[in-house]
Amino acid sequence: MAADFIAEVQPLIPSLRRYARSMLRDSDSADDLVQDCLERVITHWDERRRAEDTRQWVFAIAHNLGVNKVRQEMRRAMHVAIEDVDEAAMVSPAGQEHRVRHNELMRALDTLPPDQRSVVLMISVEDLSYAEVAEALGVPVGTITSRLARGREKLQRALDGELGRVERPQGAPVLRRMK
Amino acid sequence: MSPIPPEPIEEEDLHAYVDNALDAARRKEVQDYLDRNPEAAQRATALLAQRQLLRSSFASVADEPIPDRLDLATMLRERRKKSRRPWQIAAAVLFSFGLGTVGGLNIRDASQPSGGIAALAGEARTTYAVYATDAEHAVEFGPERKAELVSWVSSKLKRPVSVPDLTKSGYRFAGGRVVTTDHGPAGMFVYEGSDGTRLAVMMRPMAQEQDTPMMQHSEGKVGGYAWAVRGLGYSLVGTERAEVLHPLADEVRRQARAGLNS
Repeated sequence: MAADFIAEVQPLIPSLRRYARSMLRDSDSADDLVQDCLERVITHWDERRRAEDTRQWVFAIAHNLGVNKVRQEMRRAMHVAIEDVDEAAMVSPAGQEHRVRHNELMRALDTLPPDQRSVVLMISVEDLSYAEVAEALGVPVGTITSRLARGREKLQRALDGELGRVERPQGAPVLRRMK
Repeated sequence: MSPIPPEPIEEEDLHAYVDNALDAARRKEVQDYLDRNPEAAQRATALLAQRQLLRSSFASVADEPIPDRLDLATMLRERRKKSRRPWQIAAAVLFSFGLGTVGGLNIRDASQPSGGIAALAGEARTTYAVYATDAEHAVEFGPERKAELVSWVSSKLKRPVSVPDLTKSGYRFAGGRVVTTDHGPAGMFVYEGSDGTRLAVMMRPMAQEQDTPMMQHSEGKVGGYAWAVRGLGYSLVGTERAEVLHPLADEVRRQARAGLNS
């Protein structure tokens, strides 16, 4: 098992860590999730259908773990106020401005139901296709597109609210028209 | 002026547009539509900006060094280590104590040995279940290091021992090791038949019953014979039938009595 397993799964780890971090915010919890995910991948490696499906299969496991974990946190109302989070646990604490924006983004993501949040992140950040996400979650593509649209809509409203309170960027970014 | 697109452009087309999820033809239609509809273009711009914000916010995570605990090779090694031990222990418990202990002594065969020889026999069965059944790690010293093994066992048992020879009976010496028992260290020698079946001869000093006639013992799938000669207790154990094991035990005892093993 070892050789093909490592060759196929190792390249996914950076992406898995990023996904987990965007779902859970805290870097230790995120790596816990990735570790949990990889343990399951090892245990169930023989059940994977085809080598081409490895990525979506691994993300299906990560999605289930991530959504459950976010639900758990919401239930326990253990959300740490963003201000209390150790800066080292945050993503790229580059400049003050960047951090402010990042905090707003995380707060805005928190307003999404976990499954919407996961779909938005898998498609926007991890470049999974609609079909891959649909397959991974075992739902029709139509469900994914509507979940994605609702998630992005909600996220945008939250971002507008957040940005409205703190700072609104100068002018909206311009879509580069493709001729 | 572009022609009117055949399909109306929906909200989901804008998402698919910013996610690069459209085929070339549909993408062109959406682009043309955006060119003519500033409101839709603004909407697509916002979607694209949001997508870019998400991507740039988390981009650096993928570049961070991966912590050791997420190293796949290490995880596999740890898992193998973990999974082997409980199985061995479970097998040992199952084989040696299984029915007899759990169900009560009344289940035991009345002809089973008792006292020091019984203890020796039980230890031999446990040892067999733990080590001799292990495909890779049955022995610490292979047959090619017989001399080292003999000196190791002899020093642990504080008396000279030698390895019983079962070649003429069809069993090849496959190596051995020192094992621990409730009554101190013991030597275990493993033999392999031509069909790959394994048996083991365990020996350790006896505090009592230093010269004891041979007794048959078994529990679960593992059984054999135990006896003691001049203070050294022996037990030959395996999963073969008694008719197979008995003559082998006789042969080991014959060599022991002839002073070949001690």
